[in-house]
Amino acid sequence: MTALRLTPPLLLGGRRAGLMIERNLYVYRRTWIVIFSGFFEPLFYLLGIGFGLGALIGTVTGPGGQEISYQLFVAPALLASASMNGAIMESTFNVFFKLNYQKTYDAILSTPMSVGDVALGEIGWALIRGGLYAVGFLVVMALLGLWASPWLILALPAALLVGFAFAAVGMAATSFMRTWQDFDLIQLVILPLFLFSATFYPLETYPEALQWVVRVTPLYQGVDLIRSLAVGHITPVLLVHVVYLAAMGLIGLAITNRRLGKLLLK
Amino acid sequence: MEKFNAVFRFGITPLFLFSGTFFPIESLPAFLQPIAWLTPLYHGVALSRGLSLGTAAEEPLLMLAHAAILVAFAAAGAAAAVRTISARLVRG
Repeated sequence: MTALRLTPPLLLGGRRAGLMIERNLYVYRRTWIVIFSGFFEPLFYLLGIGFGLGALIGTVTGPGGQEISYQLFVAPALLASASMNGAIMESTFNVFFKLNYQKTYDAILSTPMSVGDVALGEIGWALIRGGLYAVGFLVVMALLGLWASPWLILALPAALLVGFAFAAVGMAATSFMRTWQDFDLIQLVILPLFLFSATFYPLETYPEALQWVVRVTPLYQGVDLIRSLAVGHITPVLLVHVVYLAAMGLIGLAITNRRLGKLLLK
Repeated sequence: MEKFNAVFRFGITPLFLFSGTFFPIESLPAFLQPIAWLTPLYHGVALSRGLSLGTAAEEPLLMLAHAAILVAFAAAGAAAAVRTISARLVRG
């Protein structure tokens, strides 16, 4: 957890964030099946889109212009999308419920825990959950023969970084939500990101102008980063993706801290 | 809430992906093909595709079968819904 080490003075600490994670572990101990089931979503997509639809497609042009199988093309993008989806689910719906209905955080803040602990702990928990899915997905990729480059091992931290960026921004957005209807807005952002971030077809499919629009969107950073690692096409651009995602996460975390402080410590 | 998640994850998503939506069900492993026949979305996809491509006229009986199965699903679902909802709201 880099954020923990890089930013404590800025972000009200977070020394007890581990306790927040421990609390979630206890809660989910009874419903671990919910967590386990999340692994199947990207797997279904990989089998259906990658292998089913991929059989009709053959090869596509991957990073660096090399021809790769559609399965190898789409699998890293599915991993990035799954990290985004998992982080958003955990940091929006679940946090909104705890914030407004279960009043979990009100109870927690009556202990020595700070708002920073809550924010970091919840995002950390979302990351642990996302990390489990990423490991599972990478194992499946290896079993299905989609391990084309040793660099793929770095897809795990990359997926965690995608998760961090979206969990932090998702939680910040949730702090502005008033009703469940507001969540439609989140879907309005997430679904186009999932479909149009060069997830299912190469970026070059777009006209030049649109390519630049896609290049500045957040999920594209993750898709291109993990896909380039999967095929071993290592360029300085990957660093830009990393910096983008890290900055997005840190900004989200800072906003979350301020907003939660306002909402909970009136 | 978590029950809804499970329904989507293990019900709706596989239906969406494997009902001949993106690729023909003949590409599925042999043992899964009969299962596709038992699911509702497959019949909806086959019917819509037959009608939009105009191939429905070539195999009218098959199309009628798709339609009949969809009607059967709708009727069975409606009957089950009436039963369970009245059990909860009226007698519960």
